[in-house]
Amino acid sequence: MAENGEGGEEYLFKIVLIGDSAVGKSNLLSRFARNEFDSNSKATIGVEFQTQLVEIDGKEIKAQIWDTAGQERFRAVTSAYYRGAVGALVVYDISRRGTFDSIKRWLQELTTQNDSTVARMLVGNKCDLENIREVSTEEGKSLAEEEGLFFMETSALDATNVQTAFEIVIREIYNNISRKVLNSDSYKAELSVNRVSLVNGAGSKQGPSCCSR
Amino acid sequence: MTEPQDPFSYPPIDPVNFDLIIVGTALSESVIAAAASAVGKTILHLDPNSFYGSHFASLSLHDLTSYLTSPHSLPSAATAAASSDSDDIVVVDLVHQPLCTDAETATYDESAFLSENSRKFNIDLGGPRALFCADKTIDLLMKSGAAQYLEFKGIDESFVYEANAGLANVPDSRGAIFRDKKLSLKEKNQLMRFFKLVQQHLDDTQEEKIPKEDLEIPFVSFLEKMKLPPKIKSILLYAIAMLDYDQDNNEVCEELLKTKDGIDCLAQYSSSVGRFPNAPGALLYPIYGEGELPQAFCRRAAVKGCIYVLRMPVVSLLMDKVTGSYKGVRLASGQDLYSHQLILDPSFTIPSPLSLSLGDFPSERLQMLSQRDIKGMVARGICITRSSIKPDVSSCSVVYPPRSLYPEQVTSIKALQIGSNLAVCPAGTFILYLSTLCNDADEGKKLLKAAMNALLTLPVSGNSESIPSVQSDSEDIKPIVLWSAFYIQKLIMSKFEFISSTPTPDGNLNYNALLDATEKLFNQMYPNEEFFPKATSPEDPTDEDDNGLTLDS
Repeated sequence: MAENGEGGEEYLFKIVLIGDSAVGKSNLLSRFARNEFDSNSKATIGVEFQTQLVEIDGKEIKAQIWDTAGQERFRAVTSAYYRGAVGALVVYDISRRGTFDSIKRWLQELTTQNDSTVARMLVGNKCDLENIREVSTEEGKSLAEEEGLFFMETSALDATNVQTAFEIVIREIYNNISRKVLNSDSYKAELSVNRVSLVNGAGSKQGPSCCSR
Repeated sequence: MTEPQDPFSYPPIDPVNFDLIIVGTALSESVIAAAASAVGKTILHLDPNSFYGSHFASLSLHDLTSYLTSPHSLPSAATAAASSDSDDIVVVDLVHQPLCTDAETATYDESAFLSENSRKFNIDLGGPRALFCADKTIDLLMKSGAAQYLEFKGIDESFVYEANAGLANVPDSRGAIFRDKKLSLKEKNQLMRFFKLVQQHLDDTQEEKIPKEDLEIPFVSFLEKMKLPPKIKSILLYAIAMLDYDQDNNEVCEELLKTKDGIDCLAQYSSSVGRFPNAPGALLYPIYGEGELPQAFCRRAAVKGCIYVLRMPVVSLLMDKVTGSYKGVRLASGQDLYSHQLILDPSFTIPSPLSLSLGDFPSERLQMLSQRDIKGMVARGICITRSSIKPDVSSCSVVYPPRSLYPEQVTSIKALQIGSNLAVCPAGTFILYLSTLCNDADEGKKLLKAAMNALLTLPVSGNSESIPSVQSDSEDIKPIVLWSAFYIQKLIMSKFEFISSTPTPDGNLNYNALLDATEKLFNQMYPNEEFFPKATSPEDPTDEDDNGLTLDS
């Protein structure tokens, strides 16, 4: 959700990570948010999303980056996962060809579930595994150009390009939001009016008068 | 959703042993998945559909039509997979019996527009459905942590349909009573006094209480004793307490609501009004549709380790040959998986054991499984319109009390209109949901169509330029129906056995009865475990509202 609060400009961008199991989505997130890497390849359990503060053009932006909770393993990501996401990182593993072949299906699912994602990046992770690479950089770049995506190869293991990848997506969202505020998309604005959230103390009458995530 | 790809091309599911396997992702199954995951159970949660929610899903227009009109039967297990037929196991094939029957859909106008915008719809299969702001569901969403995946909006207005008068506001607060234009001054005073009496009864600091003997009599008798006029009685019984059956008809109403339960209904309704900022009424509705609720609980379960598989039917049960006990299930992919307990979507059953050649297998236990506890039917209707049933109102609830449409009408009809500001339909359109309890399909549909005709009009065929006629008894212009669907859902209760099953959507507007049954089932399955222990939700607000009746000005 892109929120433009009134009490000083405050942005919250929802960004989702998608792609096959074990391509490194969770480690991309933990590397970006906490600068941590977990070599245990167990399916994602316990990680919801991470909120990270990023500064762009003097503005403070909250990036809320969502992980799949392992539901992608048997193609069971909820449609709710995509709601309101303005950014997406579509991730494959450069050392496993099948994960690259799945990218088109992930893009189709993303487009079907959410037509307002303004910043999409194709990410070829595990570029530290050069010696067992199965997808060339040119192939990744070519698919990204074909689909209109940003492209970057990363390594969550050694932190190559991780920070940069997220920052490019966040900046692209910010640029679009800035333009959109001038254009004021009335349909999306209609969706934002008078929302009720049950979290963060909104359950009591003393809760904040407007909800922001 | 046509899948050109082989639908069973998943890798084998690993591990193969679980504490619990759940088939179907309806609300009850999803709540139990989240509750059992929260206490450390290993769970596999599957659904044969490509979407979450089963009969609680919110679907695109195209998917809804497919779901209602062409239910699928279960495929045979893939023979290519190496299924280990063991000597210890008897395989009992499952049968899929759709819950939605007697479906009829019709497109009256703008079929191209509807087709192009199919994906902008999120239409509830189990509607009309909403949450009261002081609902049990709200507490559960907070306690379980599922609330963080959801956002809601208030339902703008609540109406009651009055014969020959159309829609009247439900006066649900002191301010609403004051503003009401249709109640007489005398009626306003009567209602104010009654609410004050109820408020005093619920207020622990007050000594004046409703006498104990009054609490045990039927609520309708109590209202008569209070000398409330029929109009106000009707509003209290059907629009606020939301009763289904005609309380003045002893033949049809098997169990009249007692006064104490009626007071509880009023208390919940009134404590809901104005509970949340941005939601002045009593009701909330989730943005993107009711289908978001099961998904929220499934996400919660997944975060705790539950494994999710969509597009994977379970085709057979694996039973112990000697004891007749449940051991596991066979998937359509051919894989066998085992668990201590199994929960089945109520649309799955088995043939009568008499029709199976099981030899000396103990089939008495299968007999119970093949019988389903059907308690009646809910007739449901969905209409897509081009304008609101009330000008300048995007979302609203409507109740048609018994006999408000025709003299033989013995049940209430519930209706809910949702507009595009809740992301359930394209801009400039509205969805109107209708439901009523019934004993047969024709009776139910007749009721719903009468309700539809009271508020909506069909386009004049061949002349889309014509202006719809104005209702003679109202200043409102009736919205035009672009599309409609009517169908029947069986009412099936939950059942705890060595193989359990969950309840179907009931006829209520909210989920309280359904969640009560779900929690009860969880407690029967796991008697030593707590239902969502508090430790898992550190965000649980500590300043719980008093559950008192508040009449805000």
